[in-house]
Amino acid sequence: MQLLRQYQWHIMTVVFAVSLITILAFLLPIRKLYKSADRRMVATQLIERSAQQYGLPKSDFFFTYVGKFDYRLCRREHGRGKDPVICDWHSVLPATLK
Amino acid sequence: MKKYLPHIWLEVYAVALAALHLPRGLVTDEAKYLLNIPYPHPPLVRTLMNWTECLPIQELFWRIVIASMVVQAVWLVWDMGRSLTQEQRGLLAAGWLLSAAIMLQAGTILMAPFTAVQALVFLWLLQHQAFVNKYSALVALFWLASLFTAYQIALFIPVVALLFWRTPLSNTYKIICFGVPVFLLALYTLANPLVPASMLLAGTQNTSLAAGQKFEYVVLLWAVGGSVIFSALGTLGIALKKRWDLALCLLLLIAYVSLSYRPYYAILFTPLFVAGSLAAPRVLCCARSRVILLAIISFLFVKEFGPSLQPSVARQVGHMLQATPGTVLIHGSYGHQWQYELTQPVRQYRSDRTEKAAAIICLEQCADVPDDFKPVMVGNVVVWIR
Repeated sequence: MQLLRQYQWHIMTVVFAVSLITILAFLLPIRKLYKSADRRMVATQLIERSAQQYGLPKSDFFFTYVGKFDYRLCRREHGRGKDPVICDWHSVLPATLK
Repeated sequence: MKKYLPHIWLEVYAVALAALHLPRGLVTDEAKYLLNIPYPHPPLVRTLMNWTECLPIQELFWRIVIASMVVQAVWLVWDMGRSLTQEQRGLLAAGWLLSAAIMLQAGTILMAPFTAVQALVFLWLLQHQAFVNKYSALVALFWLASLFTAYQIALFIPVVALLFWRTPLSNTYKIICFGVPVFLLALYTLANPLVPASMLLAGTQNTSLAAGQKFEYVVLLWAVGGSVIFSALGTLGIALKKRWDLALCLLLLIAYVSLSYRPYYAILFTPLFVAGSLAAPRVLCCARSRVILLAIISFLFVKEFGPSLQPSVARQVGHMLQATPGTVLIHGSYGHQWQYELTQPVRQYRSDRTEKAAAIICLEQCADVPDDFKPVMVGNVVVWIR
């Protein structure tokens, strides 16, 4: 307990830092979603189209990368014993963004 | 051995509460956590739950773990009441153990029981300021873990803020301990755009309800939270002793449930009723008659709002289709319990997807079902099997 008391601030700093780095690793590749309304619109359309195509709810889709014209959209296949995340790249031409 | 007898009895009670939910099977929100579906809550507990996916008794395991955690939390309540008479202490512990919210929700696989216990820990810490002063960084880590379990712990922010405010730390350290976990949660929320979207949806679903209906829901949750008796004692204690920290939490909770009503939020009231009753111990009189009344009211609530003893349709269909290969198509809006109970991939029904389908489940009336499928009624649902 004495050891825990002595090093508690170190432990807290490490946990906070690791959490921050992990969250930023997920947030930074999709930051463009927050910067551009056009990209948000394209992202919504991509999700709607994919949900229709695969017959999965929209909530099973998420982006892991949003670039200038490239989007990496992943889908989850829920179920016990299977949790595959399948991702596809979508290239959206500049004209679509207008 | 005699020393451990109360622990054993409490564990038997916990297992009984867990068993209450077993016959029916999972509801959509429970399946959502076991399948680690990433909304609306942060990932800490649902990730742990998902790691146990390989267990054939995953559902039973978590029901017992959560029920044990909630029931054994009574030792915190017992410790909080150490300045009371034995009779008052007994009533306080009974208030926790016999409240309808605990009976109804201790065995559910939801985040609300975790949040209730975490809130109880913060309220316990409020009485042990010396511990918080000594281990402020560890309390900050517990605050981080609580925030990353469920957003609802934010309803207890007044208590947590007060905890750190009372420590002899410098203002910078106080802000770090309290603020960094909140900042990390905000960043996490931004990294998952689906979370704010589903929060917005859940937060606005009650806006169309009449004020009278909202009031009725809030009163119901308040009543279930402490089986009326303990709810009244707790609220009276908060008002009599003018405990602004608890009153603010109660107001936040009432505002939240009036915006987003879910029956399982009743358990979030219970820790506040413990702290409220404790604030004005004179409300904890006539213990024996009140415990009996509490037990009777809780029993009536459990009878009225308790889970069905019949297996859910999803579970029945899951058993029926256990060894059938192919996909399962579902027509109509379906919950996550279908994804959990069925071993096959689940897809929305569309007539051009029937080729590889093992079965079509019609939660709404299906059109264009091919001739090689035959209908079977399961409850009130038509299942078409090839």
